[in-house]
Amino acid sequence: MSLNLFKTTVNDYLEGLPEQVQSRLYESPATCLAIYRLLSPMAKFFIMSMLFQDHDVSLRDLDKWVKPDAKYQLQYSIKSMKSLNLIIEGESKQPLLIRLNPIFKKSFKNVLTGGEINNSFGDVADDDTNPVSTATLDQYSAEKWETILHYMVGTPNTNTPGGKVLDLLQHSGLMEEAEYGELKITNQGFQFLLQDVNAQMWTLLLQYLKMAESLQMDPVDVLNFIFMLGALQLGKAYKCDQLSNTQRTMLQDMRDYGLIYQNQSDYAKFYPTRLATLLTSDTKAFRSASVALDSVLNKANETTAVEGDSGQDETTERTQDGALIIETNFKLYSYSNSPLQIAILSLFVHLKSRFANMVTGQLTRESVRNALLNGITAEQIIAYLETHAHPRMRRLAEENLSKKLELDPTVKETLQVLPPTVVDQIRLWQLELDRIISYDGYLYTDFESYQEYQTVADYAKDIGVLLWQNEKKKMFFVSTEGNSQVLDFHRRNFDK
Amino acid sequence: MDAIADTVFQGTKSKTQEIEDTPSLLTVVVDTSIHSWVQLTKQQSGSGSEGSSGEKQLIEALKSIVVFLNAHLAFNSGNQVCLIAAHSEGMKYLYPSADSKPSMSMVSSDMYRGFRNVDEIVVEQWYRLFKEELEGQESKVSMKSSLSGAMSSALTYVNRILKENENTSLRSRLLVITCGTSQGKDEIFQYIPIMNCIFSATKMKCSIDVVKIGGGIESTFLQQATDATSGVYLHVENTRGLIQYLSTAMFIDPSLRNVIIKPNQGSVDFRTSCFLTGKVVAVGFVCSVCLCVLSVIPPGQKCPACDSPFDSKIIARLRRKPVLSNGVPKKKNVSNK
Repeated sequence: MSLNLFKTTVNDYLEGLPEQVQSRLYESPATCLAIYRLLSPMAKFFIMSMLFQDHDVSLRDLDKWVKPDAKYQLQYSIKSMKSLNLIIEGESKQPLLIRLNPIFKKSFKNVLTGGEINNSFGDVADDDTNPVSTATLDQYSAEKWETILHYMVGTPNTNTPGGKVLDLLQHSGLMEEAEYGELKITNQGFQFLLQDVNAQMWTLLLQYLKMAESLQMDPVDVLNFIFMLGALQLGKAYKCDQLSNTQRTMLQDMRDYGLIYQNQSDYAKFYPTRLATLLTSDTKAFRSASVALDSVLNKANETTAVEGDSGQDETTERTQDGALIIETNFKLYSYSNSPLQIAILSLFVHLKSRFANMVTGQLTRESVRNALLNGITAEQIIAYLETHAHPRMRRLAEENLSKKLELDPTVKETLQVLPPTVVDQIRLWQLELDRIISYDGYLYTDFESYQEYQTVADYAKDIGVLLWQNEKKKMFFVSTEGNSQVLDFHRRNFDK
Repeated sequence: MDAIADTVFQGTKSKTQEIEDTPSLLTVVVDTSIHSWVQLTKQQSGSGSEGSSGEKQLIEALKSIVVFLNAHLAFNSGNQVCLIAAHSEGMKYLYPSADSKPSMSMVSSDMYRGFRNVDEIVVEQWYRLFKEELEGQESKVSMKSSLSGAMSSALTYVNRILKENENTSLRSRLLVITCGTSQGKDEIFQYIPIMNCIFSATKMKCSIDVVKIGGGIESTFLQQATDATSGVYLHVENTRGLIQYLSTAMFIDPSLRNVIIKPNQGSVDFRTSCFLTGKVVAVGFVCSVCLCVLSVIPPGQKCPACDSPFDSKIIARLRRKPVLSNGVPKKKNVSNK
């Protein structure tokens, strides 16, 4: 699902960091909270259960918590905790005994209990004389972010984003230089457009991190700042004087992305925008950039009226705008009039007519193939349709599923928001494009006896490296990785 | 063709293995009636050398609960909490609360804003609650617990929030923290309300978890509630290390319910209670109209619950000492095993 996409990309990056950098990251409570939220639910459960435990925990005990049919998730969560160095070998050094990383444990405990936090969640400026309303902030961030997206889609008559943003787009391979020095969107760029706003932001920020490393900026500083942004409260002013030099330079860049806002007159303070506060949350409400921003703008009017209870407003968002309905006959209706949304849809839909509040179109072989040739995958199209499905479609699917479950509780079916015919057809269209799959490997021929052929081929099949075999001709083909094993086996058994 | 079938199949398979990380609402009902906490301490100081007073135990529990709320909020950024106190004089919403502006700051200002917003109100409301209790103590000291009332209002709150958040597929669970020293006496009269809670909770797919602190016997009705809603029932001796229990056994998010093995101990007592005397009965009389269970023949020859008159002949027959009658008594029934 596209929902988890940004989590995996961020997690992959974090897992790839050297251990010392990770330990330094865990010293900041805000970072701990953000990293915790990025984990899978099961990993979160285990970490919470170990947090107030002073003794080592046995991996077997964790195993006992989980039902047999969910072992895969258990392995996955343990693997991700290990590679993040969140769980380490126990003090007693015995096998299978583990404990939480002490640095992480201490900081995360502080987060929950409100212990020594050292302003890692930002320093609120209480003496804010002329506060900026959330409406202004929303408008500001929407403008900045949409400018970037519009620029990528190539909507005519849009402003060009700042030079640093263009650099970043180019470095991340989302756009490339065409003739005349103009930038042109790449295949990756198309894929980028289909992601939700979180994934998009993280793609850019991770690229930013890579660039920052080459500019001798400390990744820990940069990451801490990004994670801190995610934990700030909308509509509050924060002081800059506690920030390190690296972070101050980042402030300017983040302003270009619309993550923070600064008053022209007062550079000692900054305001996080809604985009920033979304960084570490995966509120389902914000299913795509434009939907998020549209609903932000609609809501801005409401929030000004009921300012103060900002703990709630993030989750009570509606997704009415941009919601789409797709029928089994491949007709598609999207309730949206934002040019961005329409531009994105037109990447893979044959749009037919446009009304005041909606566009209609049809998914055709031609339109989907076009998208596929542009480098967009079938999975991405499906994920996009699924995340933007109209709430009514979702509810209908949920009702159907619960009816089925009532009849037969053993049914292993999952929620099907989109009509299965459409989903399968999109996949089939993709398969049309790759009818030939190539493998690297080795061909075994000229066996002396059928028995020799049979034994070796069976062995290859058993270890799962056999790709093709022909009994009549006594030939078979194994993958590159398995070749040495098969050779060894043959040497052991048949060489005199 | 095989290749086509294969890839499509794999695509759906990998999806089933994923746990969706959806936001959830945690509603906590805490039994804060001073009376039962004091009794808990008395009991414990009688049996062991526990030096702490009732308030200390209570405060210990409250501290753990605040941290637990934070932990839930940390789990997912879309998570919500609600805290309800079942007090001696009725129930009260501690969070969210009607007067939300905290007047004094009792929580470290460094704290993550998401936590601080909640914690400040919770602490403030608690403080007020006990202050009111202190002032009004002489006038009326009620021994009754309002647990079932608090549970029903918790469920109404859950219902409202679920309706409001239909689009974000919010899930919910209810945690009841009770301090059981009343020898199970007053909870018996809560059988019907608790039963009603169970029915509405199953309908809303909201699981009920229960932590019972102290007290010798299990509270059977709450145990039934957890059993019917696939929740967790836990009986702990005292509030020491309560946070550990909360952060493990009580931390099973709705999205994890299907994959985590619940730490339930022993068997559940499914017996019901008599509507008149409140005794737990294994064999009793049942009204044929409203199915209410009685351990004795009701006075006045009519059902105490629905007022339907009983046939005097049959009552008379039932009153007789055990005899070998050839007709099967109509109003006798075995409720459960």
